Amino acid sequence: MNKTFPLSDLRKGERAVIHMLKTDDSTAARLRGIGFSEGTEVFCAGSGLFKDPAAYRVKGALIALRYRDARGVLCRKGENPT
Amino acid sequence: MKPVQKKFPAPYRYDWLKKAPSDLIVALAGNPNVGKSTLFNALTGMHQHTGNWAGKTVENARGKTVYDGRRLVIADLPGCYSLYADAAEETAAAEFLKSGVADLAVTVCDGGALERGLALFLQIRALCPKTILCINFMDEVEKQGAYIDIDGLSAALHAPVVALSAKKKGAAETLLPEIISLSLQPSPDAPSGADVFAEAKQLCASYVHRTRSEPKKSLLDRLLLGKWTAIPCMLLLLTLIFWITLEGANIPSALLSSFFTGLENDLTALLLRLSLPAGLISFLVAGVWRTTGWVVSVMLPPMAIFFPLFTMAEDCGLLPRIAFLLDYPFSKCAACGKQALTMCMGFGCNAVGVTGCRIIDSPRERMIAVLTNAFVPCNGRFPILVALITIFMSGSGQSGFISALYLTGFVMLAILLTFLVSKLLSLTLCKGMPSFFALEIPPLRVPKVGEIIARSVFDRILFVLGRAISAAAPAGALLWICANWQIGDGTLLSILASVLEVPAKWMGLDGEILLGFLFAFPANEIVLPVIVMAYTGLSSLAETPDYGQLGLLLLQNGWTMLTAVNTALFTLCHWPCATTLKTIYKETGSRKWTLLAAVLPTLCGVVLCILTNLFASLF
Repeated sequence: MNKTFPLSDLRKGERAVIHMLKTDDSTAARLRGIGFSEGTEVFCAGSGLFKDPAAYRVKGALIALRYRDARGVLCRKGENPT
Repeated sequence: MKPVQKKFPAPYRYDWLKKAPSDLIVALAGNPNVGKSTLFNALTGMHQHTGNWAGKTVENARGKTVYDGRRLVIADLPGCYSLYADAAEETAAAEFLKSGVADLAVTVCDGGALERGLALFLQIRALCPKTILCINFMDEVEKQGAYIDIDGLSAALHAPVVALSAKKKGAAETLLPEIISLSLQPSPDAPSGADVFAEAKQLCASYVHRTRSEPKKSLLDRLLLGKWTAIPCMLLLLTLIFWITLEGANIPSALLSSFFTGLENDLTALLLRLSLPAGLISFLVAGVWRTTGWVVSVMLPPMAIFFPLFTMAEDCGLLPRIAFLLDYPFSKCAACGKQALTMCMGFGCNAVGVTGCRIIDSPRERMIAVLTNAFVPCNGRFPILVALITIFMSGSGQSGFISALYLTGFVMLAILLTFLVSKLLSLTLCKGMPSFFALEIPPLRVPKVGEIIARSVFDRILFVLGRAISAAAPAGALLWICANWQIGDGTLLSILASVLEVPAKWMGLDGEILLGFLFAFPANEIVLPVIVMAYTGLSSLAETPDYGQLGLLLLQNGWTMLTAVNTALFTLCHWPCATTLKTIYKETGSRKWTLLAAVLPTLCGVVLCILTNLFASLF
């Protein structure tokens, strides 16, 4: 069974699917707007000089998120059926 | 990520935009980085107007064009990811669309990130039923081997879809016939689903076909973002921009200088013919005119070079990468990675850097960025640093490259101070939690060099001329008065210098140096000339001698390496110039914070100078 884990646990090169946003409403709205909406496939492109922030590819765009914000994005492993 | 966001006035202020009933008001909306500005510029050319409005700190940009006999007023809305980004406050774009002022809208999106753009399109259409979907960067879509079924998408959306590559000539114009034809149709009955994200996803699944693999990191990106290569790349880029600015500015500065000096004689002759008293003539020509000319010739060329370079770096996508790489240390100071960008702007001009702080969303983090911007040396302060470095540190006659390295070193110090003070502020006056930070890193794209240079240079020239006249002219007036007002044995200037001597000595400086900084409050460009003036006892600004002569003059007046170091430190850390303070007041609306913005760097400068002085006296 697929367990949910925070996006911040995703390593470089790994994929996951966003399951739920565990943040306050305002942050959730911004996350969805920029591409991190439920059901979206996310790919971790790695970080820069430090571990934080990390860059994620969602809906075709490359977005950098801080660790503390990525922690609120709960994902499941597994590819999108499409 | 634009340095300045756009803003919108209350809807009723747009009533006057329609000169004829057949005019159309078109709202241009979309995510950031989708090429909206390219389209806007292509459609409106020079018929644009960027204004400032009180209230929201965002500028409004609207332009007009004429097509098929009809006048179209295009409102360039601020780029946003969602119309309802903040549960409490809607974006300026949402407000504008809600007002119903626009007859129709064009939602621009990146063909490579269509799903996200579609979600915004659906949100926009709920507010403005007549909306065109414009898919940009089709050239990149093709290169990636993806395929978008435009007709299918258009049918499914019940809305016109225009696919183009905005950078191609004539591409933007393909929008115009669509706009006109849509305006003639009745308002469509667009069913709005509750979940725009699910709908967008489903649409993309049906009409967009792309390869599954991730785009490979280009070589350039591997260098810019690589663990070991990122910092050297950034330093190299910074040094390169400095070098081009400083070297490139030399000849134009000299030309402008001789132009202004040349006109002095003509001006004097003219004023003599008007039978003005000699004193007044000297005041106007040697005081006001000369100082203003000085500031313009020193300030204009570097700014006219630096800002286009900076805009090019922004346009091609370098700036978000820098913010991405440097966010961590900033977040440790409870600040924001975007502060790196405002600091970069500050290198050109601190006032521009302060205005640029609008890109930082959190008010607390924005305040930190505003208060610390003055630690970054602006173009006006570079000549001081370069002169000090050349004369005392790298030795005249040495290659300009060594000087550039020293300069970079000082800049690193300024950056370090910025971090320390930011951290201090975050622990005391600007306490709070780090805010939400999401940064889009767009693909590296070739900037539109020609257009940038044309626009940027034009904007810069206007700004500099305005600043020179409003700041330098009064400074020149005051300076002339102090230098010519005989009091006892000396002039008011020399008396002021001796008064300042006492505090100056504590800092390892002398009265004349402090005087120079004080008089340069309106414009840092005149620090050195005022110091020279104070030393030589001349009654007006003279041409700054070349480094050899300047060096001799300074040594004659008791300068040592220590004096040079302290002067350099004080150059980095002293009150912001008048224009910057005025801008800070405008941005913060608070006298208290503006005062702090003046006191903070000054305090650091004084402390640093006293410390180096003490430290040196131990040897």
